[in-house]
Amino acid sequence: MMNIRRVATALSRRPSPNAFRTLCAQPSDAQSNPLSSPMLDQQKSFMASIVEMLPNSVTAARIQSGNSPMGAEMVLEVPNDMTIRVLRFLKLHSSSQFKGFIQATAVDYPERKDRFRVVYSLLSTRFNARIRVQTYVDEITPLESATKIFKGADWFEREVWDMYGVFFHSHPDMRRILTDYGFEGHPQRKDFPLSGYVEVRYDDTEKRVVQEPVEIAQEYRSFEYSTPWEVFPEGTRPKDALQIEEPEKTPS
Amino acid sequence: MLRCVARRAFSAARVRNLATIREPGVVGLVTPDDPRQALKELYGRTLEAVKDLPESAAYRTNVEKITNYRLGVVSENEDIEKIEAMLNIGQVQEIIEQAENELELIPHMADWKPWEMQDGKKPAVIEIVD
Repeated sequence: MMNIRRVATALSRRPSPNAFRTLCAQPSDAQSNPLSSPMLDQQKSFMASIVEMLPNSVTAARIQSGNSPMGAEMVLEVPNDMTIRVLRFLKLHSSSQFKGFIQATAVDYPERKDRFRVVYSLLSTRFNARIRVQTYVDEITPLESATKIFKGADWFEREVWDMYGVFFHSHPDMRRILTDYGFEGHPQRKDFPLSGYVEVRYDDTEKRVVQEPVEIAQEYRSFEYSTPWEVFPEGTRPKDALQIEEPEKTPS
Repeated sequence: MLRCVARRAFSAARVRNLATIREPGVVGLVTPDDPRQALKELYGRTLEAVKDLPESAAYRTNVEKITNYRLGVVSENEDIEKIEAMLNIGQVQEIIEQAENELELIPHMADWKPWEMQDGKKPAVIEIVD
């Protein structure tokens, strides 16, 4: 106990205990600006130092949902040939130490030229910070795999490849991970049909599971979402649909 | 015979360490016999390696700032616990690991040259988005 207290007082006596801890200057306007917090100010100066150190490799730097008193989400956008260099920098540099690889994923924006946003989320347990590294690619541009730096990126990159079709080169085992053997297409793309391209059923005559192209008549696609019971909108029932004749009423 | 001597030497070193240095809370980190000396060497090598980078690079100045500060704390203080408390970046084994990380990064940075801006391009501005 004595020991802890002594350390604590020693720390408080020093002018700026964290000045070299995260490279971040101490907040100056924390009191005057209600929107700022020590955490947010640290994040601001941390991002500023990153942009300063990697000026040609950061295309955008954002702090999102910045009105939270607990700080916000740090987002770095980088060119798509720089991802693993930036990741390596964030992992090894003394003032970032992002050693934890949380996930990699992607988002599809079909209207953009570089339609996929690939996102890496990192965690620094040393400085209790999280950061997101984003990049944009089109369908044919391969990214360099982050497995050299983070072993945990392996399955996540396979997932991105499987779901979005973003290829990663120098990956140790670049295969599909979630879909079936021989699957075609990338299901999380926005232009992938909801019903898929093939359907699977058990064929009793062949005694095995067969894959067939999906055959759904167009009228079956006009779903009515407001009620779960009547899926055919009024007046769109096909003419040749099976009609059940009502039994004739016998006069009593 | 030889093994016996080695074991004794090892346990002696262990006892000496245990008296002054806590075991790391992280698996896989080793405690050198003289952590201060190890740190000083690492920092010396870092300051030497960083001389390959241009002086104008912010990365170089930042690394020099951090390393000189840490080197100063390590050389001024004898007590490991005091060094740990002053640096406030974990136990001495982790401080050593961080120094090794930085040293590993420097050649990659020299290769990458992220400070070279193309003509007419400006560094990104940090946006705060609600």
